[in-house]
Amino acid sequence: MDELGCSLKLKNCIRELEESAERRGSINGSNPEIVTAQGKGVDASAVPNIPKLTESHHAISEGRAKWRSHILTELQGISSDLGIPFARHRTATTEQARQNREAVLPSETLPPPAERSDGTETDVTNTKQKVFTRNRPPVTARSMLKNICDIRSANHISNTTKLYGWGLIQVELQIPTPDELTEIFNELNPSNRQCGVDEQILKEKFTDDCIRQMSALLAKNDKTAIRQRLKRGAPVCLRQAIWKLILDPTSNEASGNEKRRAHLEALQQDVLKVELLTDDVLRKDIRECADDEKYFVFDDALEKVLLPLSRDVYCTPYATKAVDAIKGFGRGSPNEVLPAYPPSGIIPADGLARLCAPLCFIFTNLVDVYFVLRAMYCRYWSKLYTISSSPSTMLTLCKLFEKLVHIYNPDVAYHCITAGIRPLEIAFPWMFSAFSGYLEVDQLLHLWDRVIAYDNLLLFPILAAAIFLWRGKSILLCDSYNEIRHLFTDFSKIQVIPLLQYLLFA
Amino acid sequence: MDKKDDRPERRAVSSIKFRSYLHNTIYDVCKSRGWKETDADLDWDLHWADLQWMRDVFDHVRLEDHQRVNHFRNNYELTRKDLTIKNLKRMKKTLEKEDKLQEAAKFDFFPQTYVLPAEYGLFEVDYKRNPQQAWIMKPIGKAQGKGIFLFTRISQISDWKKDHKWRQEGQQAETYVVQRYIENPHLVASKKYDLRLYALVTSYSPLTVWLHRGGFCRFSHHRFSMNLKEIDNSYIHLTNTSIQKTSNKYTNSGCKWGIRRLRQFLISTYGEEATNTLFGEMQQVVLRSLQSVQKIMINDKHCFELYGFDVLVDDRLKPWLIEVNCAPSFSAETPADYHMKFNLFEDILNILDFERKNTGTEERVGGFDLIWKNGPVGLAKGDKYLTSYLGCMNEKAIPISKMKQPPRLAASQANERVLI
Repeated sequence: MDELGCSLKLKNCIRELEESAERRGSINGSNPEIVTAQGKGVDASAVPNIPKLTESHHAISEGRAKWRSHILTELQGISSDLGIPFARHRTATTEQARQNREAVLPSETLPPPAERSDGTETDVTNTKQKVFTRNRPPVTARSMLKNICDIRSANHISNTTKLYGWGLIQVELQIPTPDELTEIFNELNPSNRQCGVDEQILKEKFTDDCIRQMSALLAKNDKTAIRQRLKRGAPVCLRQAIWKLILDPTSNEASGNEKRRAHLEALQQDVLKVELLTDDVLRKDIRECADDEKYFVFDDALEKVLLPLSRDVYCTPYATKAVDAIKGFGRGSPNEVLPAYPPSGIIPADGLARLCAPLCFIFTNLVDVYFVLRAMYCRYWSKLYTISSSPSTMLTLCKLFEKLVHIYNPDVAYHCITAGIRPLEIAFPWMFSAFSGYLEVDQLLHLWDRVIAYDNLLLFPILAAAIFLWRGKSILLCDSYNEIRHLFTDFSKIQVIPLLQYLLFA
Repeated sequence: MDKKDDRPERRAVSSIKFRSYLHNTIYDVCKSRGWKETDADLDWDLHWADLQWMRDVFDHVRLEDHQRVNHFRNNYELTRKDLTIKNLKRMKKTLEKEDKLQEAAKFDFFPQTYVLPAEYGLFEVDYKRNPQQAWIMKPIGKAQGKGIFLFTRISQISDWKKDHKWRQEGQQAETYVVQRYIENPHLVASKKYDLRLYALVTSYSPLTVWLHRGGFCRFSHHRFSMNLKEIDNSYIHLTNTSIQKTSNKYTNSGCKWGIRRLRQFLISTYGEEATNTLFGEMQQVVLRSLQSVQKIMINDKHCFELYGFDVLVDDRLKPWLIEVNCAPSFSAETPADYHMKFNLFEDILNILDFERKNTGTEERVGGFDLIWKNGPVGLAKGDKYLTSYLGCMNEKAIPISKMKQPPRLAASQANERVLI
């Protein structure tokens, strides 16, 4: 079919079917009743299911496949470098081998992005570098960005005009306009009182009001009302209760606690029995996270939470939307197939531990940390590692960021390009790690409050663009790539909510 | 009358001279203000002296009105481990005699302590009554955690008795204090920590105390456990930086958190009220310790002193006084450390006001808040929201980006970003 050029046509047909079915469904209301030519209603379930493509955009699905094969090669590379199989039972010998590895590996870290002098980027697959990065995570910001930028649509206008535009993303995607953004995030309007900025101005009365209102809502257990109220932020002392209520509803049930603890313990038992290749990668990530002065206290807790998470099958449907499942085949019978490797489908990314560490600031109980982390990963963080055209995934976030910078600060964008760096290259690591290793913890938690309340990640590119806007004058004074990079190393003074308001409403 | 005429004339910055035996942050701050360094015997405005000078020279010289020295003559009454306890116990007894039982009961922030060899008998009685209790042994003259160890059986120290040629007569014996070990410290992610608070006393009569909002917590890198087999593992039980640095788990991130981050962590996990109460009580610990030595300190208008209070919090969120330091270190190990100590010293100089810029009525200078001047100052006790400014944001601090780091720290690999 490929030879006949029909596969693309087929995909287009399926897409049209999908869209028309959706349109019909929305006209007839929530209960789609297909009306036949005779005017008789037919039950929708009689109609066969519409085949749904994971990814309807051809170039993006190719990019997705390339990304997946890149990850797979990385995993296989790590396996051969470290000399261990993807999974095996733990025994005394394997433990000894693990300790030997850990004694050697701490000194090896990923090399920082190379300082470019002549404008060319060093190839990450350079063999010399490979020796020193044996335990690299399969998913890194740099490799993902590279994959994203390589996605080129066959019918993009640049193919004929050779005008590539300023952005790194070369596919056209539907993204909200600034006006739409202002409407979506209307609760952030400066005329509303916000936690995170108004505590300093209005002080005690404001905090007291906030706490009273939130406590009343919590007592009523009203999830939607709390979510609505959370759009204006949460007082620090109530954050624990609020996040648990929204993200982990089972914690409030009577027998919920027992079941949750049993679930986590079962997973921890599994960690002790079977050794996965990803364990090593995760441990390395945790060690790097512990290098951060904010999170070094939590390294033990992180290990107890992240390793079980990689084995929790609950995450598989969400994680495999990010990267299609890598199926594992056991050495036993040929029918022994693991639906996903690792069992949860979560391929360790660079900075995964940093997504978990801020939660340790809110919850002291590891069971709570685990379930909230799991919920947040499934709902939000898996989208950060997804190459897809669906809204709120990484591609759309990047596209939105670039668009915002180009609209609000075209001179800064142009200056950066002439200096040899694209704004997206600087901002991508921030979004990839959900700003976790960069912002101060209290600001980060204010940002994550809003992410949970609005249930989407659009705030990340908005914040990144706002930071660029804020630093605009300083960027224009910089001459070189290195200076611009240096400008963005200090995040300690950044206040999240005022920046967001500045971009959206000023 | 025009108030301006009452104030002394402002002094030119370059006319101010300082003498310091330390060439670290202190030197940098003074130089950055434009002061001149001198090593003259008496021709200085500020002398950051060491204790040796205080013992040998201070009593025999007569100082001018404007000269200031950084120690009180008998500061050992507060900072030597045995004398601290003696003074606190005495204060408690005095209050009980005066029938102020409620006040006296509040002096419960120091663990039961005995001085050895003098009070060995009393200690033995207490030990036998509580055989399960762990005890901690500290030499009174040493710092940085040297010579400190824990034990649960009295035979463990009788072994030590033999080794150190300890004589019961008390002659030329090395004095130790033995204290009830706090077996239930508050833990963050199962790790023990203790706090360092800074208090500046500019006079003991009237007692004038300034408390610094910042400070830091020192963490142990190892999981805390009261397992008897690990009782001599200093990495678990002792949080001194000098000890933790030698651990194999010590990384570039250091082992410190600023107190502000700890306060936010506690608000997140325990709520506003509990955290408020805790920090208010910590402020009271500092105040009460100073009040206990107020009457016996030899006050001198030329003297001031910066104390480093080491405080431990237990799992019921009650603060305990560990010890008081009269010469807290001003050497910086990381850029963030340097930033904090630079701001600390800069604030001290602003309070001492050599340039005569202050009005004398300030209640806040930089990161310091005046908490006692012959009576409580500032936040009313029992305030619902804020009982102490300890751990609050210090927006008047000089930002780290505006600070020129000394060369050896500029190239530091440490990941500590900010301790304030």
